[in-house]
Amino acid sequence: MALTEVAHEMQYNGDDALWYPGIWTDFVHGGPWGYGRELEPSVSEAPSPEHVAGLTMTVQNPQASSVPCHIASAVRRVGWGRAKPEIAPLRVAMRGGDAGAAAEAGSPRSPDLYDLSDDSDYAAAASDHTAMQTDLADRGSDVMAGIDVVYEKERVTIHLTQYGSGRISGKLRLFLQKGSLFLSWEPNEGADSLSTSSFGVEIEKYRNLYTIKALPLSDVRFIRKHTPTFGLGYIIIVLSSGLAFPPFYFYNGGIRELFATLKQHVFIIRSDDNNVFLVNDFQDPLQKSLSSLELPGVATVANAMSRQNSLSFTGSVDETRHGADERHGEASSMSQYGSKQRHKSNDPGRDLSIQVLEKFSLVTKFARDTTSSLFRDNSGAHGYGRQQHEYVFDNKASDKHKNQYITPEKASIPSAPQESDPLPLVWGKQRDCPLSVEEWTAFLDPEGRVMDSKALRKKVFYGGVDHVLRKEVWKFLLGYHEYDSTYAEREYLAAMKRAEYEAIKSQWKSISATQAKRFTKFRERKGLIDKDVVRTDRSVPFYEGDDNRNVVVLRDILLTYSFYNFDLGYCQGMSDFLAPILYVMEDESESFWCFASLMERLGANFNRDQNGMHAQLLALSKLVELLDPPLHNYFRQNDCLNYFFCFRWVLIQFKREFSFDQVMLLWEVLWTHYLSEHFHLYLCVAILKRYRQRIIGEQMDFDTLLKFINELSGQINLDRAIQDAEALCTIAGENGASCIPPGTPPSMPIETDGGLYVQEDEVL
Amino acid sequence: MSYAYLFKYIIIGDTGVGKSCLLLQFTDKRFQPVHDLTIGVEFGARMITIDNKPIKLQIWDTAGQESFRSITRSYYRGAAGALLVYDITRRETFNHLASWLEDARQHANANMTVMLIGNKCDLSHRRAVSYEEGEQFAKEHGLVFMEASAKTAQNVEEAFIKTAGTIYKKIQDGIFDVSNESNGIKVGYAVPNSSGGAAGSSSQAGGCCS
Repeated sequence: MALTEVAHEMQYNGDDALWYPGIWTDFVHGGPWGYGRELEPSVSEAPSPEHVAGLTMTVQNPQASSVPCHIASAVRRVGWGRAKPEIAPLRVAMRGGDAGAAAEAGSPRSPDLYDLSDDSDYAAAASDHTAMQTDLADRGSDVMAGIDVVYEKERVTIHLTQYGSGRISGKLRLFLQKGSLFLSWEPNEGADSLSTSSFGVEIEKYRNLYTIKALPLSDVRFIRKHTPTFGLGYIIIVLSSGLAFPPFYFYNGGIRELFATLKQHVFIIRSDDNNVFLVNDFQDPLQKSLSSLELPGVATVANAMSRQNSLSFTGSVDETRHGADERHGEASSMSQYGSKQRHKSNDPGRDLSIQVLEKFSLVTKFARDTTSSLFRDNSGAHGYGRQQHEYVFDNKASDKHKNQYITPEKASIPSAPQESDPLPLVWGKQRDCPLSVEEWTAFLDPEGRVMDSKALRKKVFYGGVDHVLRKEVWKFLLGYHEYDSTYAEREYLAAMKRAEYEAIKSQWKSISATQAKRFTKFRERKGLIDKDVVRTDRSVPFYEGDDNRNVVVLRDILLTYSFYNFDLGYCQGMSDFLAPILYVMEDESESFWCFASLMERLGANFNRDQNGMHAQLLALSKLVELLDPPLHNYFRQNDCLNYFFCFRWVLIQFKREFSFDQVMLLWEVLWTHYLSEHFHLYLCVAILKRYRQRIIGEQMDFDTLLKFINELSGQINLDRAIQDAEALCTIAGENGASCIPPGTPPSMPIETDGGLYVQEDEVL
Repeated sequence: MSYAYLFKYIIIGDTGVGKSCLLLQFTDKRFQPVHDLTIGVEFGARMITIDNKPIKLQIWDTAGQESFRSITRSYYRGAAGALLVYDITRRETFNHLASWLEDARQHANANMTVMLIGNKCDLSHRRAVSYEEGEQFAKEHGLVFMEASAKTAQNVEEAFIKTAGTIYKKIQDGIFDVSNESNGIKVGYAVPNSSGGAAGSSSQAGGCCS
């Protein structure tokens, strides 16, 4: 049975969201998203034993190709609106040598019918890491002769779905045979993993596919240990071939003991963070440590891949870059994993750091997601799918940035002691340089139209805008200028708008002192604005000093706006938005109209009933629930679900969290609406995820959390936050978008007869 | 730093009455006329000594604008003391006191000590609210009253410390159950006559009050 056929067949069967040429796929790592892994073998050529480090891949079931769809639909019924890629139907088992007998299984357990999050076992097991008892009751019952079981643990479980609703519990063993250490995992007989009956049947059918009969430890490259403060501990085993097993969750604890046992029999090096255990293959262990592999390892691997010309995402494969043949791209990316084995002994690229492998995995996950989205909709959404595909594979700057997609972790993680919870698997494109004058000019046709607004927005999204161009480009990003307007049209518009601005301004300019006495609302607004403009960005040279003319302009624009949009009026925070705009535009009327355009989208932030803020904070809550369920649960348990601790972030789009220059960059990135109109919410999630370990570990209550978040001001690494947010946004995809109700700022508001802004009696 | 107790304070009142300046004067002993307006909430902290016991004041400085009342309300939770501030040169800030007080009564602990502060008393030539009016309002609503100036520092120290003294007395009188942190009081390491709950809360207090 050619595996290739299966894979290709599956591509066509997988009309919805799933097709899996991969062998082992995992999903859960502190959340359904953050850590996807899919390390795939070659399917572009017939698999041979050496491709998988001495293990034989066997297609267990000729009907395997239909599995993913069945399971996918079952998953849909179970709880997700759309099929999630986290379900991992595994079609190929790894077998060692001649072991072909049915799994020696422990006693059947009663079905676990619950979502993991509601599971009492889950909570119990989570605090059970120290329970080091090993289930050795049936140690003597081994049918295999001449083996010596040195470690055995029951209830070591594979999660098929992200919440653990589909699980297969089994027994993990280490045993010695002829002096070599082997690892085995055998599922229990009987149902242990049923969420719905149909799903359970599917799982039951294929449970044997997960069985590991005898994996020589010499084939293990490393084992990653994850023992979260809350939740189950698990390990991920990655083979020398690059294949990764799905995570094994230890419901009865025993991870520490596992490693203790391993240490007695094989050579293990521990990584700096104590969580990665390199098992084999160090010729000179004294001179090599994992940390030494980080950056050079990344570069070497990237280069090695380019040389091999077989891994598409490094940018050397043209057909994938052009999106002409996505399936080919997928196949070629897979071929890397098979062919890598051939370089085992002499290729410096084999010195993989954990980061590299993890990034592989996300890339392939992305590739899978985007490819499946292509198959999902061959017509209308093609452009979208292709766009995403480019996101993964596009590497036009590959000459300049060979390792563009492989973020150098060395620079990021240790240098940020504040950010204690790096996201090794969440991954975004490295930040680009700002849009330059030359590039900008190239975007314009002779009459001044922006020819490809999407490409422009993409460019700005990834790199921002050179400051000298902001004055021009922001007007497009903010919607004040149309992309297809000409120079002449814009010039005309500016003149018209200038006159219009002056007319509105004259409305309040003409109010005499006598009239003002009888115009409380005006007095109050003016008083409020007068007080606030002198408290806005006064440390920025443009606004500093007594009698600063720019402060007066700030006041005039805000007061004029409160007449232009009398229903909304003035609210604190508006001056925070206006100050950088005026600084960039250096023109009162233009600043006013840019600000007014921005308020078209963000006005609801300043509504008296705060509906825009509540909508965004609710959407944020939904996004965290989607992207980091444990963190969401933590917030829920600690009564933090109102997300008020993110209030300032959202209200003024991180204005107070970064320097003035950084804010300008961030805003232009946000205003592109390139990946999402609500990218700022993903940014919130990204930052929260960065600090989740501290938040949860230190058991922060609402007050403490609020203070903690407040004090992050000036501490957040902007580029990395944007990259993280980009990855989260892409991974979340439509599920993320569906967390955000229509009309949530900065989406354009849904107009009603009653006007855009809720009115109450008071004005302040 | 060790402390016997930690009190959570909240500063409330209309925008522009000088809440942030009062806080800065108290924590840093300086007056900074040019500072950014407060969005959401800002934090300050200072150690004081009452009855020879070190007490840490954790002070929440809130945004004053009406629009943000709904979020400000979430900050009342667990506050042991509140400074309700108005500006003696702006009548309307005095007129709004009742509404602020209502919020406080509704969302804060019933035992919260509220200090009424008429700020900017250095600007007495522009006074729009008399001392007596302020005193009267405080009396009617059972508040402690003071006029103060964040600019000259007049009465600033006193306002915060007097509030702390009142809270401390409430603890001594058994009005506050210090083991219940919803009262806005945490018991720290240095508590001499360690009562129940001290051990449990000390680690948390240490974690959040650096």
